[in-house]
Amino acid sequence: MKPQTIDPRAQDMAFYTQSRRLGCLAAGLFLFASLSSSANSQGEPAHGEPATKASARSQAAPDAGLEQARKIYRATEWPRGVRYQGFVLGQFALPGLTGREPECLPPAPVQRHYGDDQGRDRVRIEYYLEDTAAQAHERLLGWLATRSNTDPAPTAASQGVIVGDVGYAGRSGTGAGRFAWLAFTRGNLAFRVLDLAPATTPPLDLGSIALALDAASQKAAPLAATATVPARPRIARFAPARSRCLAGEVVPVDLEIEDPASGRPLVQWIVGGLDQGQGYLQQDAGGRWQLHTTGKGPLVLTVCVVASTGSVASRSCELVID
Amino acid sequence: MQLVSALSRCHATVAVIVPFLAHLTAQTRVGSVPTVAAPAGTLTALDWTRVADPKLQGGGVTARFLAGPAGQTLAITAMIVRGGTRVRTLLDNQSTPGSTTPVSLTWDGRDAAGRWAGPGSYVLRIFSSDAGNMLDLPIAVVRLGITEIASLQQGSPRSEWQMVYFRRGTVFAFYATPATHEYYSTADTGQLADLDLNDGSPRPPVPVHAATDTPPLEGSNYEDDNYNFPLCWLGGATPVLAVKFGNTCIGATGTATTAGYPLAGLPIRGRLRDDRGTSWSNGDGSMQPGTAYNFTGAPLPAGVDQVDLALTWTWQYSTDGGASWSEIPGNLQTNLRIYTLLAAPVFASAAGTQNAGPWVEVVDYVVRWKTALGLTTNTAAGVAETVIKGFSGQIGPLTTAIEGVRYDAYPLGGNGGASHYYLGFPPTNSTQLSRLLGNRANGVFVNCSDCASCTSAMMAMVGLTGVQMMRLGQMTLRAIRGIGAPTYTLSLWGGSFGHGFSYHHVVTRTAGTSVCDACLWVDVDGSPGTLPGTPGYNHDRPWNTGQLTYQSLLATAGISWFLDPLPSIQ
Repeated sequence: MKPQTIDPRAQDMAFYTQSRRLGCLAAGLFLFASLSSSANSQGEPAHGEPATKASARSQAAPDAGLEQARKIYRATEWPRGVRYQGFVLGQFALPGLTGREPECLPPAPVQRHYGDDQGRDRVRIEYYLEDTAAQAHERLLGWLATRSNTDPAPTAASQGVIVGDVGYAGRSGTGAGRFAWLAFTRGNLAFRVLDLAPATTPPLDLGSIALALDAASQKAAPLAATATVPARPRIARFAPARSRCLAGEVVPVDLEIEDPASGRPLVQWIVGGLDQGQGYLQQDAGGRWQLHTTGKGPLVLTVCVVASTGSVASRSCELVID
Repeated sequence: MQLVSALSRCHATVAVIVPFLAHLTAQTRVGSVPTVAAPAGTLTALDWTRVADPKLQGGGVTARFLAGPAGQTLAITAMIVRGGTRVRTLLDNQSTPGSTTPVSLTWDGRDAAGRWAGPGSYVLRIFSSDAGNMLDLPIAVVRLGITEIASLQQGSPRSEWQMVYFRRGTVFAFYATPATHEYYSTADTGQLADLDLNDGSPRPPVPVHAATDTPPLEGSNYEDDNYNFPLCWLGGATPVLAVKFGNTCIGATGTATTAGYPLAGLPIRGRLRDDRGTSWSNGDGSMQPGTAYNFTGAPLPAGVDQVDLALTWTWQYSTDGGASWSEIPGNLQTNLRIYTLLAAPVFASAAGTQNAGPWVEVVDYVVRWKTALGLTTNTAAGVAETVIKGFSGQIGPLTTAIEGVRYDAYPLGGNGGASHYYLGFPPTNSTQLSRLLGNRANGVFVNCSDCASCTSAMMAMVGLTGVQMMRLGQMTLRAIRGIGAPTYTLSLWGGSFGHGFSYHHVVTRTAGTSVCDACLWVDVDGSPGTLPGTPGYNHDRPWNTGQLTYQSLLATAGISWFLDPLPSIQ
């Protein structure tokens, strides 16, 4: 068993090649590798932003859809604001609505739903913490590029909502000036706020929600000038008790993680194995993680930790299930 | 009389009562000179249950004997005896006319107080003061039942998969069936034995877990003592089950004990028959509790399907070393649900993760659509048609699109066709299929990328090969009906907006020569540029060759396109 540290947001193509070589690691880590999709196709780091990924990303062919949107929305001209350590979405409250637990499995954003008193989900907030403002721009661009309307989305400011470094709006067809969504970046943060039930009354003031979100995000600590990337969660210990066992056995997994904001990170497990070993993880009565093995074969166990601030770290190890 | 009284008391508690003494007391009772005359009657055993599990459905002990001769009446007593102690009286000095017609007895396996007698060696004792002989018929009571069933992969290539759930209660999480076996029926916490409840009654078989999104939970953890997950094989495969018979039950004293077999000289074997009329074959040898044995059934139907099997388990014993077998009365009924696939599931990545198996809800959806629409799913074209028509719905009994979604356009309450489930163009190229299936958690609106990514993932998951997403360039549209829309339109975005797409995502399994599109219907009435529209479902519709091609029906001019790979899913 050879635990290896894999930081999906700092990896380069060399790592991706390595994960391919590991074979059974590939599927789970493909998710993380794809995080590199937020490529700064310009290959030019903004002022004060690290250039660590530019060379690796320049190898990937730009997506035609993204490039088309880049031109339409003149994304190369978008302002790049100051960067932040991240935003604790789990602490962001909306008056009159109940926030559910945040969730995230990369490459999906951190996402959180807010429900009304009747249990209906009304608002969904999607959030990416990137290393650079340029990468946050790519997230915004991705949302805009996958709109199938031939008419470009208007800027949020043109709709009366001055939000983020740059923001766009989707008006809802339910009328009364309602928004279906608002998307914006603030430094290295990218947000999309969606009205999940735009026909429901009373109408939501999505603009106010976006403004509150933007304001809250700026209360977070800005990234230190010396920091190249936002702080990641630290996986202090990650060690299954055994590297070999019989199918059906339960293997304790020693996991100790630290959140960069002293918050509660999300822990996602990925158990690799289609023709390989299988299993699942759950906590015992004492809160200790345990791998319940269910299928024979080699098994790659990956823990993906999403910090309360939105940064991600992961580690993997291999086991053999006999 | 004191002697008679004493003997009567003994009769109640001591099983060893010889007919001779009974005869003597009868003579004494009438006050005549006690003379001993050999009784003229005879008891002849015909057949009886040598090995029994009274807790099986229809189980118990039966016996037949002859009381003779004809014309004489015998007072017959029959009782179940264990270790010299009477357990139950079946006949109490019952007046029985001698006849060539057999007398039948039954024992339900309970003692005089109604408690289950438990596994062990018993004797059915039949005697009469009017008969010159007594019958002692040995009976072995055992406990028969199933604790584990696992589907088995046989040979190569692979034909069996554990199915995948995408939720854990209210939380999204992916795991293959969280168990080493699909069926498990054992003692939960506080329970003493696997085959019986603590009151001695048989543990009921576990019903099929019908939820398609989450496995059963026990508190916050997966249920780990009693579950019955669906199984999954390649369509046309021959299913093999590894079956384990339980080894613990509740005995006569109310405590846990073993199942009472194997028995010396009386090998036992299990038999399995399903409601399709198939007898599942196995090795025909004797079987022991706690050991797994393989049962092989008849080939499953081809293609994507669901087979609900009612399994009837019976057991047999042999008195001649396996040369011949006799039935143990009764049976056990269990149910299994089997899903079948067209071919091996395909995922975006060659190596698997826990979500890279056939999702229960996806296969279940395809089967439900197939059934509702009367389609066949034993060909690739049939599966494609089923997924496209089922996903878009609003046809036949499918009154809505999948999960009630609708296209994200202003006239339908949405906006400009934003994606809600598709996470972005390659290399991200991932879709949150689970959120769509989970009561459209990301919202009611979808766009073309949402539909294409989800339908392509679903098609590949049930065994369609070569599935890719196909991205089309900007176009001006003809008459279309978007998913979830009430009518065809020539003004998709309403008002002054243009009737067109900045791009459009569809699915192809032929590298672009034909397309599948659940996001919209084209108009096939010969006037694709005018209303009203006539439904044209896009399953394997030719791209630009032949009649009613997708390109010509969708747009007013030629469309550029290129291929995107199959999306990864979460």
